[in-house]
Amino acid sequence: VSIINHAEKAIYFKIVYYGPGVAGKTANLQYIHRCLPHAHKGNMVSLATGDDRTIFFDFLPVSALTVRGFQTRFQLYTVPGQVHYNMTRRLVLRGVDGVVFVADSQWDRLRDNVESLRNLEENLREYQMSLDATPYVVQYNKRDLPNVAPVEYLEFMLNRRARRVPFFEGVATEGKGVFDALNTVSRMVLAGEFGGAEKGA
Amino acid sequence: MGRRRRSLVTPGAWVWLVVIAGLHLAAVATLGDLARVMAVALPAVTAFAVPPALYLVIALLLGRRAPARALGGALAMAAAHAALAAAGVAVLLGVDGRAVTVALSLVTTPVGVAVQAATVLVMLAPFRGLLRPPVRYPRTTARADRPVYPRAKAPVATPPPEEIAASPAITPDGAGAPADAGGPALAEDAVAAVVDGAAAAPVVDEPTAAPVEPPPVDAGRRSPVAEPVEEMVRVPFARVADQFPPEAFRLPMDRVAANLLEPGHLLVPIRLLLPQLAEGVAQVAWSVVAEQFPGQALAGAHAEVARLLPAGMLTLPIDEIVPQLPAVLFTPPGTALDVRGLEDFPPPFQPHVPPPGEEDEDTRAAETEATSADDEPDEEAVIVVGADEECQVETANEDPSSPVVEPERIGEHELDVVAAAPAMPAAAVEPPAVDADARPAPAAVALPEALARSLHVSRVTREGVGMTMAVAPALDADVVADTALRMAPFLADRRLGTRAEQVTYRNGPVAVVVTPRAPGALVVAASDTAASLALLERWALQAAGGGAPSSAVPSPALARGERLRSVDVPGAVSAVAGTLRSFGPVAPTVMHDETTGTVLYLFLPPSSPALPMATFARDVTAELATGELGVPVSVTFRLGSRRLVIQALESGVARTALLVAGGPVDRPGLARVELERAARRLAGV
Repeated sequence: VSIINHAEKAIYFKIVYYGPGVAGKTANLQYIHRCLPHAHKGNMVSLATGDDRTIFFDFLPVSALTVRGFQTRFQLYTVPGQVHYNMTRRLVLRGVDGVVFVADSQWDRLRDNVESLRNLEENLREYQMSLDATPYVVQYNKRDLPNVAPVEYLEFMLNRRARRVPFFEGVATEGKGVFDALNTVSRMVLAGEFGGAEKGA
Repeated sequence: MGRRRRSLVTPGAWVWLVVIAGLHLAAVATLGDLARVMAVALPAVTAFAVPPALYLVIALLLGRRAPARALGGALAMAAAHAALAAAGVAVLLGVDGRAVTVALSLVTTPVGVAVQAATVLVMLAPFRGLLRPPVRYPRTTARADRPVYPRAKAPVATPPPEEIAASPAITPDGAGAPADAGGPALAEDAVAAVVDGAAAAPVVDEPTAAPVEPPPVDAGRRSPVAEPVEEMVRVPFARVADQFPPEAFRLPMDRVAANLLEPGHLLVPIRLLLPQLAEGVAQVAWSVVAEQFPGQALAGAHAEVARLLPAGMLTLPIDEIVPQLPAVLFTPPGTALDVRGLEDFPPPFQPHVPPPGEEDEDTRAAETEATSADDEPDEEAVIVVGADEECQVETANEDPSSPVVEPERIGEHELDVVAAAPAMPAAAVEPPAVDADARPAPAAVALPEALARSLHVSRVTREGVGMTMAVAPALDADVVADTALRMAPFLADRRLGTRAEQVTYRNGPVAVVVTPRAPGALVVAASDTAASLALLERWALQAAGGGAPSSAVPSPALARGERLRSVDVPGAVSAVAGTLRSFGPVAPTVMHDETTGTVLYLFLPPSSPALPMATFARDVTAELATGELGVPVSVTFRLGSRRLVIQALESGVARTALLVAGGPVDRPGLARVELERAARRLAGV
């Protein structure tokens, strides 16, 4: 659900990077943060939890092109992947406009991917939303590791809805597939908001 | 093909039957008078009743596991006997020209009856396999040393329907259901083709000999397996062997593997795996594979072995299974999303050039605000963006009915996130009975509300050490205090190189966090739910004034003798070192404690000597093992930005190995995941 600020002539979109723990969501945001020009990004904020927990969430505001005279601004979030942080994940999903599902391609994380995707659907339902109506893409991360499942099998597990969404192979630490996923989901969000052809600088 | 069918169609068996019958009749014709001379004829009833009884006894002995077959066999032998007697009479009448009464008396003498019975038994000996249940000796042509395995087709034990139903991790509530309940569950046609093809597939392989080395276990004791023939996948036994506790088998694992029905491999019906493929997991009940194990290798009954497995299930390595399945199974069922309209929008984001590697590290560090542990948010938090356009974090419960403030969107350059301090109107700490420390404490020891409801706060003095304790009611405070006192000396142990700010003991859901506050003063927090551990550690640090390193109690002489010796580092251990990336570069060392037999796998920065850390880890574990909370699963020392983790490795029923990892850790969650993986791998070394 985008937010329009008529005074600033800006429209805000919320993109959430979702996925199991240690799949590479933070790595995606870190790479985006490193690679975007200073003028187009705000500060990245990472909140960590305790000694044996990972990220609470990450946040990165970025600005993009102008559409119909409105400056588009994207707020990029990650969620904590650990199972017991579900309330945090649910809260971060509030008002989401698009999702990048970051899957861990390693064989021993396949089950975690499936459970995380199912958790995403459940949490969206809390807000009367569904994956069918939410722009999202899938990024199969860590493709540089040796013990990864074939993409065909990952697709079979994670992209099996009636309409298959775009997917990308990724190595987030090296930037592979990071901007492909971000740009695609952003354009899907824009297409949903503006319905097509109008574009700006 | 089974032995039964081969015996029926083998011409040799029939030739044998005819030859023996012919010899018998020739003997009757030649030696008929001899039988008459040697004994008188038996009464007809006796002569024709005794042989069937004899045959019935013999048939039941040979076919005791298949009574119906035994009865049939006895009838067949009796029929053969009658046929032989009739043929003998015919021979005597036709060839020898004797009278009917004489001929009958000849075949009913004791000698005549005995010879006929012996002839029947010898004549039908090749058919004795009919008396046993159908025994199959399936083998696929694929051998373990072949580089590529075709999908094996082999007859296996088909578990009862209820076991099959229990085997997949599929539950109606969706716990094991495909991710998209609304979409097609599988490529149904392809699945059906595989299953149907499997059912019709013939078995073409002959039995193969049991392996010579190591010597095979009595294959005859292996329970018979039954039809139908199924299409199978082959799973290397070595990949699942670590799920069996050693007490499950009488033989070493390598011999168990060598004596499997398919040496070195388990065969699993594809149809049991297909429903689970969408879950990224493959599990089968023990009963599915039980018959493939030699009976003598099992230490107990199948039910006992099943009890030793988690939920009676074997988790199979899916990376071994998927490559054996036809790719058509993984054809996504849906249609690709139409994204043609997207080209109307240029890519909103373009990566910065030059590449990020050239960006100044300091600049990046300044731009990335990462909160430290001291001002982290609580575990479950609500993001609240107020009118002042700041994000705040406040504690909340998991209860979805808790009031949640809708976040508002704000300007990008005004965005900031502040980790608010935990709610402080919490349980007040009782005034210290003996205030051994110099710092003011009560204000800092207030518990967050979420913890205050679940922990009981008290203050005790034990052995001259003042302890501010926050302990879950389910835990014995005395036991927790005792554990804390056991851990406290190690906080200031010289072998650490620096004094630790905090140490956390974990054993299952129980966690005890010990944080030094001042000389002779500790903050001790104990929880019986692992989920609150992060909050507990953070609170303890705050309550201890930031967890400033201080000597809690005098460090005693802890050396327990240097009976540790370095041993060669196996390749598998070296490989594990490469996976612990969150600890920075680490060098693997393996040490053996000759006193206790404990093996220590150390992964420390190359500049850190291994022996002191090995003795330290051993001493910590030994000290805690004598406490009432028992051997820790893990002990974590927080040393500024560094962590030292001592983790027990499960080695059967006894923990005889320790994993010790240390180094700078900036992503503790990742470190934890890496350690868990490393522990699993090392447990199999």
